[in-house]
Amino acid sequence: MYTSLGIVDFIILFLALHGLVLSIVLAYHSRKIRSNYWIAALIFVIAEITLVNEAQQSGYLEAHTRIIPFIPVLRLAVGPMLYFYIRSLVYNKVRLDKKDYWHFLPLVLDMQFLIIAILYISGILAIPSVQQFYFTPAVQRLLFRRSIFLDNLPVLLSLSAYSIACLRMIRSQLAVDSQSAYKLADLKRARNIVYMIIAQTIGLLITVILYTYTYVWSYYIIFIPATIFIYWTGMAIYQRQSHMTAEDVLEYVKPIPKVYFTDEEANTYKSKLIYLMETDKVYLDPSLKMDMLADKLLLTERSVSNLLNHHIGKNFNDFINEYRVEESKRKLVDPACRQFTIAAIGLDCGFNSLATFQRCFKQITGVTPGQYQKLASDPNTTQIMI
Amino acid sequence: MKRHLILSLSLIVASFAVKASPRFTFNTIISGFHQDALTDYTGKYELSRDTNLYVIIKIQDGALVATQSWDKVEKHLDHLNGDNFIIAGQGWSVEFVRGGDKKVAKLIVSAKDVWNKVSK
Repeated sequence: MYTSLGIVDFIILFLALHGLVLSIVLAYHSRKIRSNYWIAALIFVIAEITLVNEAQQSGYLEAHTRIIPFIPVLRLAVGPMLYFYIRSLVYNKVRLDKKDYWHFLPLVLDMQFLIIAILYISGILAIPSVQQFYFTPAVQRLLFRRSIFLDNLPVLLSLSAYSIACLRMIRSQLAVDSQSAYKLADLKRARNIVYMIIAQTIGLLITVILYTYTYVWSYYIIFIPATIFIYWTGMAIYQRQSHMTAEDVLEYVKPIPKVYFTDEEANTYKSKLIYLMETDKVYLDPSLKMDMLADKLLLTERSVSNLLNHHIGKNFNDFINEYRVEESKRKLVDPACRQFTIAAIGLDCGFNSLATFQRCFKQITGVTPGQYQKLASDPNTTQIMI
Repeated sequence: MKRHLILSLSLIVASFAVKASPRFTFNTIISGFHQDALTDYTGKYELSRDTNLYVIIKIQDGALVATQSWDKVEKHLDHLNGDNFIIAGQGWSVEFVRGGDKKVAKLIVSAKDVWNKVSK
Protein backbone atom coordinates (compact mmCIF):
# COMPACT_ATOMS: atom_id res chain seq x y z
CA MET A 1 0.00 0.00 0.00
CA TYR A 2 1.34 3.45 -0.86
CA THR A 3 1.11 6.45 1.42
CA SER A 4 0.11 9.75 -0.17
CA LEU A 5 2.95 12.22 -0.15
CA GLY A 6 2.26 15.76 1.03
CA ILE A 7 3.15 18.97 -0.75
CA VAL A 8 6.36 19.25 1.29
CA ASP A 9 7.41 15.81 0.05
CA PHE A 10 6.84 16.93 -3.52
CA ILE A 11 9.00 20.00 -2.96
CA ILE A 12 11.71 17.77 -1.43
CA LEU A 13 11.41 15.38 -4.36
CA PHE A 14 11.65 18.21 -6.87
CA LEU A 15 14.74 19.66 -5.20
CA ALA A 16 16.37 16.23 -4.84
CA LEU A 17 15.78 15.41 -8.51
CA HIS A 18 17.09 18.84 -9.41
CA GLY A 19 20.16 18.13 -7.27
CA LEU A 20 20.67 14.83 -9.05
CA VAL A 21 20.61 16.48 -12.48
CA LEU A 22 22.73 19.38 -11.25
CA SER A 23 25.38 17.03 -9.88
CA ILE A 24 25.70 15.34 -13.27
CA VAL A 25 25.89 18.68 -15.11
CA LEU A 26 28.42 19.99 -12.59
CA ALA A 27 30.59 16.87 -12.92
CA TYR A 28 30.45 17.16 -16.71
CA HIS A 29 31.66 20.79 -16.58
CA SER A 30 34.31 20.22 -13.91
CA ARG A 31 37.22 19.47 -16.19
CA LYS A 32 38.81 22.85 -15.51
CA ILE A 33 38.23 22.96 -11.78
CA ARG A 34 38.58 19.39 -10.70
CA SER A 35 37.66 19.92 -7.04
CA ASN A 36 34.12 20.42 -8.30
CA TYR A 37 33.97 16.68 -9.05
CA TRP A 38 33.81 16.11 -5.34
CA ILE A 39 31.11 18.67 -4.65
CA ALA A 40 29.14 17.16 -7.56
CA ALA A 41 29.56 13.72 -5.95
CA LEU A 42 28.48 15.11 -2.57
CA ILE A 43 25.35 16.66 -4.09
CA PHE A 44 24.60 13.39 -5.88
CA VAL A 45 24.89 11.39 -2.67
CA ILE A 46 22.65 13.73 -0.69
CA ALA A 47 20.08 13.72 -3.52
CA GLU A 48 20.18 9.90 -3.62
CA ILE A 49 19.72 9.64 0.16
CA THR A 50 16.75 12.01 -0.08
CA LEU A 51 15.12 10.08 -2.93
CA VAL A 52 15.55 6.76 -1.12
CA ASN A 53 14.01 8.27 2.01
CA GLU A 54 11.01 9.49 -0.02
CA ALA A 55 10.65 6.04 -1.61
CA GLN A 56 10.60 4.60 1.89
CA GLN A 57 8.11 7.13 3.24
CA SER A 58 5.76 6.59 0.30
CA GLY A 59 5.66 2.84 1.02
CA TYR A 60 7.22 1.99 -2.32
CA LEU A 61 10.11 0.05 -0.80
CA GLU A 62 7.78 -1.73 1.63
CA ALA A 63 5.77 -2.97 -1.33
CA HIS A 64 8.83 -3.90 -3.40
CA THR A 65 11.15 -5.46 -0.86
CA ARG A 66 13.11 -7.39 -3.47
CA ILE A 67 14.82 -4.20 -4.68
CA ILE A 68 15.95 -3.15 -1.18
CA PRO A 69 19.31 -4.99 -1.28
CA PHE A 70 20.25 -3.30 -4.52
CA ILE A 71 19.64 0.28 -3.39
CA PRO A 72 22.93 1.85 -2.27
CA VAL A 73 22.77 3.25 1.26
CA LEU A 74 25.23 6.12 1.08
CA ARG A 75 24.70 8.04 4.31
CA LEU A 76 28.18 7.06 5.56
CA ALA A 77 29.73 8.43 2.36
CA VAL A 78 28.68 12.03 3.12
CA GLY A 79 31.47 12.61 5.66
CA PRO A 80 34.34 11.26 3.50
CA MET A 81 33.04 13.06 0.41
CA LEU A 82 32.87 16.34 2.27
CA TYR A 83 36.42 15.72 3.50
CA PHE A 84 37.75 14.92 0.03
CA TYR A 85 36.00 17.97 -1.42
CA ILE A 86 37.60 20.26 1.14
CA ARG A 87 40.96 18.54 0.66
CA SER A 88 40.77 18.94 -3.11
CA LEU A 89 39.88 22.59 -2.63
CA VAL A 90 42.63 23.28 -0.13
CA TYR A 91 45.46 21.15 -1.53
CA ASN A 92 44.31 20.68 -5.16
CA LYS A 93 44.46 16.94 -4.51
CA VAL A 94 41.57 15.42 -6.41
CA ARG A 95 42.62 11.80 -6.88
CA LEU A 96 42.41 9.31 -4.06
CA ASP A 97 45.41 7.37 -2.78
CA LYS A 98 45.05 3.70 -1.89
CA LYS A 99 44.73 4.46 1.80
CA ASP A 100 42.03 7.05 1.09
CA TYR A 101 39.63 4.28 0.07
CA TRP A 102 39.59 3.13 3.70
CA HIS A 103 37.45 6.18 4.45
CA PHE A 104 34.62 4.41 2.63
CA LEU A 105 34.94 1.16 4.59
CA PRO A 106 32.15 2.10 7.07
CA LEU A 107 29.71 1.89 4.14
CA VAL A 108 29.82 -1.87 4.72
CA LEU A 109 27.79 -1.26 7.89
CA ASP A 110 24.84 -0.24 5.72
CA MET A 111 25.18 -3.15 3.31
CA GLN A 112 23.41 -5.70 5.47
CA PHE A 113 20.54 -6.27 3.02
CA LEU A 114 22.95 -6.71 0.12
CA ILE A 115 25.11 -9.12 2.14
CA ILE A 116 22.03 -11.12 3.18
CA ALA A 117 20.87 -11.26 -0.44
CA ILE A 118 24.31 -12.48 -1.55
CA LEU A 119 24.30 -15.11 1.22
CA TYR A 120 20.86 -16.23 0.08
CA ILE A 121 21.58 -16.28 -3.65
CA SER A 122 24.88 -18.08 -3.15
CA GLY A 123 23.14 -20.70 -1.01
CA ILE A 124 25.34 -20.02 2.03
CA LEU A 125 22.29 -19.08 4.10
CA ALA A 126 20.78 -22.50 3.40
CA ILE A 127 23.70 -24.24 5.13
CA PRO A 128 22.16 -25.53 8.39
CA SER A 129 24.85 -24.21 10.76
CA VAL A 130 24.83 -20.76 9.12
CA GLN A 131 21.05 -20.72 9.15
CA GLN A 132 20.88 -21.75 12.79
CA PHE A 133 23.19 -18.90 13.69
CA TYR A 134 21.26 -16.46 11.49
CA PHE A 135 17.93 -17.40 13.12
CA THR A 136 19.18 -16.77 16.67
CA PRO A 137 17.43 -13.88 18.47
CA ALA A 138 20.75 -12.09 19.05
CA VAL A 139 21.64 -11.99 15.34
CA GLN A 140 18.11 -11.00 14.33
CA ARG A 141 18.07 -8.25 16.95
CA LEU A 142 21.45 -6.97 15.81
CA LEU A 143 20.42 -6.96 12.16
CA PHE A 144 16.81 -5.80 12.28
CA ARG A 145 15.83 -4.54 15.70
CA ARG A 146 18.63 -2.16 16.56
CA SER A 147 17.57 0.91 18.48
CA ILE A 148 17.18 3.99 16.32
CA PHE A 149 20.02 5.60 18.24
CA LEU A 150 22.42 2.71 17.63
CA ASP A 151 21.41 2.64 13.98
CA ASN A 152 22.28 6.30 13.50
CA LEU A 153 25.30 6.43 15.79
CA PRO A 154 27.87 5.69 13.02
CA VAL A 155 26.39 8.50 10.90
CA LEU A 156 26.45 10.97 13.78
CA LEU A 157 30.05 10.07 14.62
CA SER A 158 31.16 10.11 10.99
CA LEU A 159 29.61 13.50 10.22
CA SER A 160 30.96 15.05 13.42
CA ALA A 161 34.50 13.77 12.92
CA TYR A 162 34.74 14.74 9.26
CA SER A 163 33.18 18.17 9.88
CA ILE A 164 35.78 18.96 12.53
CA ALA A 165 38.62 17.77 10.27
CA CYS A 166 37.24 19.89 7.40
CA LEU A 167 36.90 23.00 9.53
CA ARG A 168 40.51 22.66 10.65
CA MET A 169 41.68 22.37 7.05
CA ILE A 170 39.65 25.39 5.94
CA ARG A 171 40.79 27.53 8.86
CA SER A 172 44.46 26.84 8.18
CA GLN A 173 43.99 27.67 4.50
CA LEU A 174 42.01 30.85 5.08
CA ALA A 175 45.09 32.18 6.85
CA VAL A 176 47.04 32.11 3.57
CA ASP A 177 46.97 35.44 1.73
CA SER A 178 48.29 34.43 -1.69
CA GLN A 179 45.25 32.91 -3.33
CA SER A 180 42.72 33.89 -5.93
CA ALA A 181 39.54 35.69 -4.98
CA TYR A 182 37.55 32.80 -6.43
CA LYS A 183 39.44 30.27 -4.31
CA LEU A 184 38.88 32.42 -1.23
CA ALA A 185 35.17 32.63 -2.04
CA ASP A 186 35.05 28.85 -2.49
CA LEU A 187 36.81 28.30 0.82
CA LYS A 188 34.25 30.50 2.55
CA ARG A 189 31.46 28.64 0.78
CA ALA A 190 33.06 25.35 1.82
CA ARG A 191 33.09 26.59 5.39
CA ASN A 192 29.36 27.31 5.10
CA ILE A 193 28.83 23.82 3.68
CA VAL A 194 30.59 22.35 6.70
CA TYR A 195 28.47 24.50 9.03
CA MET A 196 25.43 23.21 7.14
CA ILE A 197 26.54 19.60 7.61
CA ILE A 198 27.06 20.28 11.33
CA ALA A 199 23.52 21.69 11.49
CA GLN A 200 22.27 18.58 9.67
CA THR A 201 24.06 16.37 12.19
CA ILE A 202 22.35 18.22 15.01
CA GLY A 203 19.05 17.90 13.09
CA LEU A 204 19.58 14.15 12.82
CA LEU A 205 20.32 13.92 16.53
CA ILE A 206 17.11 15.84 17.33
CA THR A 207 15.14 13.54 15.00
CA VAL A 208 16.57 10.46 16.68
CA ILE A 209 15.78 11.82 20.15
CA LEU A 210 12.24 12.78 19.05
CA TYR A 211 11.70 9.30 17.62
CA THR A 212 12.94 7.68 20.81
CA TYR A 213 10.24 9.48 22.82
CA THR A 214 7.38 9.95 20.36
CA TYR A 215 7.91 7.21 17.73
CA VAL A 216 7.51 9.88 15.05
CA TRP A 217 10.25 10.03 12.43
CA SER A 218 10.36 13.76 11.63
CA TYR A 219 12.48 13.46 8.54
CA TYR A 220 11.51 16.94 7.30
CA ILE A 221 13.99 18.41 9.83
CA ILE A 222 16.79 16.74 7.89
CA PHE A 223 15.62 16.64 4.31
CA ILE A 224 14.14 20.12 3.79
CA PRO A 225 17.43 21.86 4.68
CA ALA A 226 19.40 19.14 2.86
CA THR A 227 17.62 19.61 -0.44
CA ILE A 228 17.64 23.41 -0.22
CA PHE A 229 21.35 23.15 0.57
CA ILE A 230 22.19 21.04 -2.48
CA TYR A 231 20.09 23.28 -4.71
CA TRP A 232 21.77 26.44 -3.45
CA THR A 233 25.30 25.02 -3.46
CA GLY A 234 25.01 23.35 -6.85
CA MET A 235 23.53 26.42 -8.54
CA ALA A 236 26.03 28.80 -6.94
CA ILE A 237 29.04 26.72 -7.96
CA TYR A 238 27.73 26.06 -11.45
CA GLN A 239 26.98 29.74 -12.09
CA ARG A 240 30.28 30.89 -10.63
CA GLN A 241 32.20 28.41 -12.77
CA SER A 242 30.53 29.57 -15.95
CA HIS A 243 31.58 33.18 -15.24
CA MET A 244 35.26 32.38 -14.76
CA THR A 245 37.73 33.36 -17.48
CA ALA A 246 40.74 31.22 -18.48
CA GLU A 247 43.01 33.45 -16.34
CA ASP A 248 40.71 33.03 -13.36
CA VAL A 249 40.89 29.26 -13.74
CA LEU A 250 44.71 29.35 -13.95
CA GLU A 251 44.89 31.52 -10.85
CA TYR A 252 42.42 29.23 -9.13
CA VAL A 253 44.28 25.98 -9.75
CA LYS A 254 47.72 27.41 -8.95
CA PRO A 255 49.34 25.31 -6.21
CA ILE A 256 49.37 26.93 -2.81
CA PRO A 257 52.01 26.18 -0.20
CA LYS A 258 50.59 23.87 2.36
CA VAL A 259 49.84 25.44 5.71
CA TYR A 260 50.08 23.05 8.61
CA PHE A 261 49.52 25.42 11.50
CA THR A 262 47.86 28.70 12.27
CA ASP A 263 50.05 31.08 14.26
CA GLU A 264 48.20 30.11 17.39
CA GLU A 265 48.69 26.38 16.78
CA ALA A 266 52.34 26.91 15.89
CA ASN A 267 52.94 28.72 19.20
CA THR A 268 51.26 25.90 21.10
CA TYR A 269 53.38 23.22 19.43
CA LYS A 270 56.53 25.34 19.79
CA SER A 271 55.93 25.45 23.54
CA LYS A 272 55.40 21.68 23.62
CA LEU A 273 58.57 21.13 21.63
CA ILE A 274 60.63 23.39 23.89
CA TYR A 275 59.19 21.59 26.92
CA LEU A 276 60.30 18.26 25.41
CA MET A 277 63.79 19.67 24.89
CA GLU A 278 64.32 21.55 28.13
CA THR A 279 62.42 19.38 30.60
CA ASP A 280 62.41 15.88 29.12
CA LYS A 281 65.79 16.43 27.41
CA VAL A 282 64.86 14.12 24.54
CA TYR A 283 67.92 15.30 22.60
CA LEU A 284 70.13 13.21 24.93
CA ASP A 285 68.87 10.12 23.10
CA PRO A 286 71.41 9.48 20.27
CA SER A 287 68.76 7.57 18.29
CA LEU A 288 66.32 10.50 18.32
CA LYS A 289 64.68 10.87 14.91
CA MET A 290 62.00 13.09 13.47
CA ASP A 291 59.35 10.35 13.72
CA MET A 292 59.99 9.91 17.46
CA LEU A 293 59.59 13.62 18.02
CA ALA A 294 56.42 13.58 15.89
CA ASP A 295 55.01 10.75 18.01
CA LYS A 296 55.68 12.66 21.19
CA LEU A 297 53.93 15.75 19.79
CA LEU A 298 51.10 13.68 18.27
CA LEU A 299 51.87 15.18 14.86
CA THR A 300 52.97 13.82 11.51
CA GLU A 301 56.62 13.99 10.49
CA ARG A 302 55.74 16.53 7.81
CA SER A 303 54.01 18.73 10.35
CA VAL A 304 57.04 18.67 12.66
CA SER A 305 59.30 19.45 9.75
CA ASN A 306 57.02 22.35 8.80
CA LEU A 307 56.98 23.59 12.40
CA LEU A 308 60.77 23.57 12.58
CA ASN A 309 61.41 25.07 9.16
CA HIS A 310 58.68 27.68 8.98
CA HIS A 311 57.99 28.61 12.58
CA ILE A 312 61.34 28.04 14.28
CA GLY A 313 63.60 28.64 11.29
CA LYS A 314 65.87 25.60 11.71
CA ASN A 315 66.04 22.13 10.29
CA PHE A 316 65.72 19.09 12.54
CA ASN A 317 69.44 18.37 12.89
CA ASP A 318 70.42 21.97 13.61
CA PHE A 319 67.63 22.29 16.16
CA ILE A 320 68.59 19.14 18.07
CA ASN A 321 72.35 19.69 17.82
CA GLU A 322 72.09 23.18 19.30
CA TYR A 323 70.59 21.68 22.44
CA ARG A 324 73.25 18.97 22.49
CA VAL A 325 76.06 21.55 22.14
CA GLU A 326 74.56 23.67 24.93
CA GLU A 327 74.46 20.62 27.16
CA SER A 328 78.05 19.68 26.27
CA LYS A 329 79.21 23.24 26.98
CA ARG A 330 77.86 22.91 30.48
CA LYS A 331 79.52 19.55 31.00
CA LEU A 332 82.87 20.61 29.54
CA VAL A 333 83.26 23.27 32.23
CA ASP A 334 81.56 21.32 34.99
CA PRO A 335 84.17 20.22 37.60
CA ALA A 336 82.10 17.13 38.29
CA CYS A 337 82.70 15.98 34.70
CA ARG A 338 86.41 16.62 34.73
CA GLN A 339 87.28 12.91 34.78
CA PHE A 340 85.37 12.32 31.48
CA THR A 341 86.98 12.53 28.06
CA ILE A 342 85.64 14.91 25.41
CA ALA A 343 84.34 11.92 23.45
CA ALA A 344 82.46 10.62 26.48
CA ILE A 345 80.87 14.02 27.05
CA GLY A 346 79.85 14.21 23.40
CA LEU A 347 78.27 10.78 23.50
CA ASP A 348 76.62 11.57 26.81
CA CYS A 349 75.01 14.64 25.25
CA GLY A 350 73.41 12.64 22.44
CA PHE A 351 76.03 12.77 19.68
CA ASN A 352 76.63 9.54 17.81
CA SER A 353 80.39 9.97 17.38
CA LEU A 354 83.28 12.19 18.36
CA ALA A 355 83.63 13.44 14.80
CA THR A 356 80.02 14.63 14.68
CA PHE A 357 80.39 16.23 18.10
CA GLN A 358 83.56 18.08 17.06
CA ARG A 359 82.03 19.27 13.79
CA CYS A 360 78.75 20.45 15.28
CA PHE A 361 80.45 22.07 18.25
CA LYS A 362 82.79 24.06 16.02
CA GLN A 363 79.98 25.00 13.68
CA ILE A 364 77.93 26.47 16.50
CA THR A 365 80.56 27.90 18.86
CA GLY A 366 83.44 28.57 16.47
CA VAL A 367 85.91 26.52 18.55
CA THR A 368 86.46 22.82 19.12
CA PRO A 369 85.32 21.22 22.41
CA GLY A 370 88.97 20.88 23.50
CA GLN A 371 89.66 24.57 22.84
CA TYR A 372 86.48 25.50 24.62
CA GLN A 373 87.46 23.49 27.69
CA LYS A 374 90.95 24.99 27.67
CA LEU A 375 89.63 28.54 27.36
CA ALA A 376 87.19 27.93 30.18
CA SER A 377 89.81 26.50 32.52
CA ASP A 378 92.55 29.09 31.75
CA PRO A 379 92.17 31.95 34.27
CA ASN A 380 94.40 34.24 32.19
CA THR A 381 92.30 34.07 29.05
CA THR A 382 90.80 37.31 27.83
CA GLN A 383 88.61 35.69 25.19
CA ILE A 384 84.96 35.93 25.98
CA MET A 385 83.32 32.57 26.41
CA ILE A 386 80.92 31.88 23.61
CA MET B 1 45.73 -6.98 -16.36
CA LYS B 2 45.17 -7.68 -12.66
CA ARG B 3 41.88 -5.80 -12.79
CA HIS B 4 40.71 -7.79 -15.79
CA LEU B 5 41.60 -11.03 -14.04
CA ILE B 6 39.72 -10.03 -10.89
CA LEU B 7 36.71 -8.93 -12.95
CA SER B 8 36.67 -12.18 -14.94
CA LEU B 9 36.99 -14.28 -11.79
CA SER B 10 34.20 -12.29 -10.13
CA LEU B 11 31.94 -12.88 -13.12
CA ILE B 12 32.67 -16.61 -13.08
CA VAL B 13 31.99 -16.82 -9.32
CA ALA B 14 28.81 -14.77 -9.76
CA SER B 15 27.57 -17.01 -12.56
CA PHE B 16 28.18 -20.10 -10.39
CA ALA B 17 26.42 -18.39 -7.50
CA VAL B 18 23.38 -17.64 -9.66
CA LYS B 19 23.34 -21.25 -10.83
CA ALA B 20 23.50 -22.36 -7.21
CA SER B 21 20.59 -20.10 -6.28
CA PRO B 22 18.23 -21.75 -3.76
CA ARG B 23 15.27 -20.69 -5.87
CA PHE B 24 16.28 -23.05 -8.64
CA THR B 25 18.13 -26.00 -7.19
CA PHE B 26 19.50 -25.60 -3.73
CA ASN B 27 16.31 -26.23 -1.77
CA THR B 28 15.48 -29.31 -3.73
CA ILE B 29 18.95 -30.78 -3.40
CA ILE B 30 19.61 -29.96 0.23
CA SER B 31 16.28 -30.43 1.87
CA GLY B 32 14.19 -32.34 -0.61
CA PHE B 33 11.78 -29.45 -0.58
CA HIS B 34 8.82 -29.69 -2.97
CA GLN B 35 6.32 -27.11 -4.11
CA ASP B 36 3.43 -29.26 -2.85
CA ALA B 37 4.77 -28.95 0.67
CA LEU B 38 4.11 -25.20 0.53
CA THR B 39 0.41 -25.81 1.14
CA ASP B 40 1.33 -26.77 4.72
CA TYR B 41 2.18 -23.16 5.42
CA THR B 42 -0.80 -21.41 3.86
CA GLY B 43 -3.51 -19.96 6.06
CA LYS B 44 -4.30 -17.10 8.42
CA TYR B 45 -1.91 -16.23 11.23
CA GLU B 46 -2.71 -13.84 14.10
CA LEU B 47 -0.13 -11.93 16.08
CA SER B 48 -0.08 -13.44 19.56
CA ARG B 49 0.16 -10.12 21.40
CA ASP B 50 -2.46 -8.34 19.26
CA THR B 51 -5.02 -10.59 17.56
CA ASN B 52 -6.35 -7.67 15.51
CA LEU B 53 -3.27 -7.98 13.38
CA TYR B 54 -3.00 -10.92 11.08
CA VAL B 55 -1.33 -12.09 7.89
CA ILE B 56 -2.70 -14.38 5.23
CA ILE B 57 -0.18 -16.67 3.63
CA LYS B 58 -0.93 -18.07 0.22
CA ILE B 59 0.95 -19.56 -2.71
CA GLN B 60 1.61 -17.25 -5.61
CA ASP B 61 3.67 -18.29 -8.64
CA GLY B 62 5.01 -21.29 -6.76
CA ALA B 63 6.21 -19.31 -3.75
CA LEU B 64 4.76 -18.18 -0.45
CA VAL B 65 3.37 -14.67 -0.15
CA ALA B 66 2.18 -13.10 3.11
CA THR B 67 -0.42 -10.34 2.92
CA GLN B 68 -0.47 -8.01 5.91
CA SER B 69 -3.97 -7.15 7.16
CA TRP B 70 -3.14 -3.60 8.26
CA ASP B 71 -1.73 -2.26 5.00
CA LYS B 72 -2.38 -5.04 2.47
CA VAL B 73 1.33 -5.11 1.62
CA GLU B 74 2.49 -8.42 0.21
CA LYS B 75 5.76 -9.88 1.44
CA HIS B 76 7.41 -12.68 -0.50
CA LEU B 77 8.95 -15.50 1.49
CA ASP B 78 12.15 -17.08 0.19
CA HIS B 79 12.71 -20.65 1.28
CA LEU B 80 15.96 -21.74 2.92
CA ASN B 81 15.45 -25.30 4.10
CA GLY B 82 13.07 -27.27 6.28
CA ASP B 83 10.45 -24.88 7.70
CA ASN B 84 12.73 -21.85 7.52
CA PHE B 85 12.22 -18.89 5.22
CA ILE B 86 13.31 -15.28 5.00
CA ILE B 87 11.36 -12.22 3.87
CA ALA B 88 12.61 -11.41 0.38
CA GLY B 89 14.86 -8.38 0.32
CA GLN B 90 14.47 -7.57 4.01
CA GLY B 91 16.03 -10.77 5.30
CA TRP B 92 13.92 -11.19 8.45
CA SER B 93 13.89 -14.80 9.54
CA VAL B 94 10.55 -16.63 9.26
CA GLU B 95 10.36 -19.92 11.07
CA PHE B 96 7.26 -22.12 10.83
CA VAL B 97 6.76 -24.22 13.93
CA ARG B 98 4.85 -27.50 13.82
CA GLY B 99 2.67 -28.85 16.62
CA GLY B 100 2.46 -32.39 17.99
CA ASP B 101 0.38 -33.45 15.00
CA LYS B 102 3.19 -32.34 12.67
CA LYS B 103 0.98 -29.62 11.26
CA VAL B 104 2.15 -26.01 11.10
CA ALA B 105 0.88 -24.27 14.25
CA LYS B 106 2.63 -20.92 14.29
CA LEU B 107 5.33 -18.83 12.73
CA ILE B 108 8.03 -16.78 14.38
CA VAL B 109 9.30 -13.68 12.62
CA SER B 110 12.76 -12.31 13.31
CA ALA B 111 13.07 -14.67 16.29
CA LYS B 112 10.64 -12.49 18.23
CA ASP B 113 7.08 -12.02 16.94
CA VAL B 114 4.91 -15.11 17.27
CA TRP B 115 1.95 -15.51 14.88
CA ASN B 116 -0.50 -18.32 15.66
CA LYS B 117 -2.20 -20.13 12.82
CA VAL B 118 -5.96 -19.72 13.20
CA SER B 119 -7.34 -21.12 9.96
CA LYS B 120 -6.29 -22.82 6.78
